[in-house]
Amino acid sequence: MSSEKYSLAGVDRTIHEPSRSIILAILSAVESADFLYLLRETGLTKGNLSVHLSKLEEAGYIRIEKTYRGKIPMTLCRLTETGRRAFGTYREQLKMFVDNN
Amino acid sequence: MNDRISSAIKRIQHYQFENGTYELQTGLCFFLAGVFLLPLPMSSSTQGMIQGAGIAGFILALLLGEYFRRRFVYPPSGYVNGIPGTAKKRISRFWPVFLLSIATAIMIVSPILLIDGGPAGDAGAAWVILTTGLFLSVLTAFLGLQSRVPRLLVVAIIMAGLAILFSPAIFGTRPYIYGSHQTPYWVIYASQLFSAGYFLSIGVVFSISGGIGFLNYLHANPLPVEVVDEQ
Repeated sequence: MSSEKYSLAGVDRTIHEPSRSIILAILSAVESADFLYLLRETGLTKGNLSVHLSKLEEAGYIRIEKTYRGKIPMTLCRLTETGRRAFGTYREQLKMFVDNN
Repeated sequence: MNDRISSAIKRIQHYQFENGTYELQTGLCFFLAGVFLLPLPMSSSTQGMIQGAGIAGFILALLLGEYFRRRFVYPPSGYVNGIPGTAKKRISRFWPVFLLSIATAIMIVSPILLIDGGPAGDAGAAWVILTTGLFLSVLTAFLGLQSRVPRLLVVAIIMAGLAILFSPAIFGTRPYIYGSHQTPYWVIYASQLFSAGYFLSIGVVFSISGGIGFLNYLHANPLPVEVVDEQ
């Protein structure tokens, strides 16, 4: 087995950022979650969270939907199929790295 | 990193059950099921009305839980919707738990059926209460462990105790069947009463547990103060 397999060089850099990986982890466990829940769980500021969500959306990993709950506006985020696959691969790579180092 | 991801996934599972609204819903449904099973002397039209009211009650219980979540849970801490994947995926993931709980229930019930004076012939109530009760207990305990909500484990233990307590087999009503071709009315009455008692009791247990969870949740996550638009 080559040593390349044990390195983290090939991991998806969009996901490898700690906050983004947590966002994807949360979204992988549910159908959808809103901005407020992600804000509380990640502990990020509103601005930071927005930036991370935009990057994930640009990569096609999540879908952001602006909707209303009653009269209150709500930003709903959900993982796309591409995002789910990419996150699965990322977790496997991470596990392999941990197991072999 | 992997630990942080796993803990984020576990937290979301905890979040869905910690607020107690699902227990309140379940409790209300079990309570209604208990009311359904109460052996009350009534005409068929009254029975029809009660059945209609019961169905409306079940729907109301489901809507009430959703209302509570939307009104009190999501505003302070955010909205989360469901578990991903199809029902088939979910069942395939949890089938060992379902099998284990059914097997446990049958294993515990079987010796009771074999002992002298246990249920015989058309005796179904003991089976229903014990099997359903133990199955639900294992399922509740599993949910408690999975979501890390300890009060669900307490509920599971109480449910198992109630299943044994309310089983007509333990009360020994069945020996009166022996030597008789027709089941005495009072035995049927007692079976129905115990079944109703069981479902009413677990309904109350779930509701109390859910109520405590809900109040604790509200205490820890007060509703955000609404900003009055002065324009």
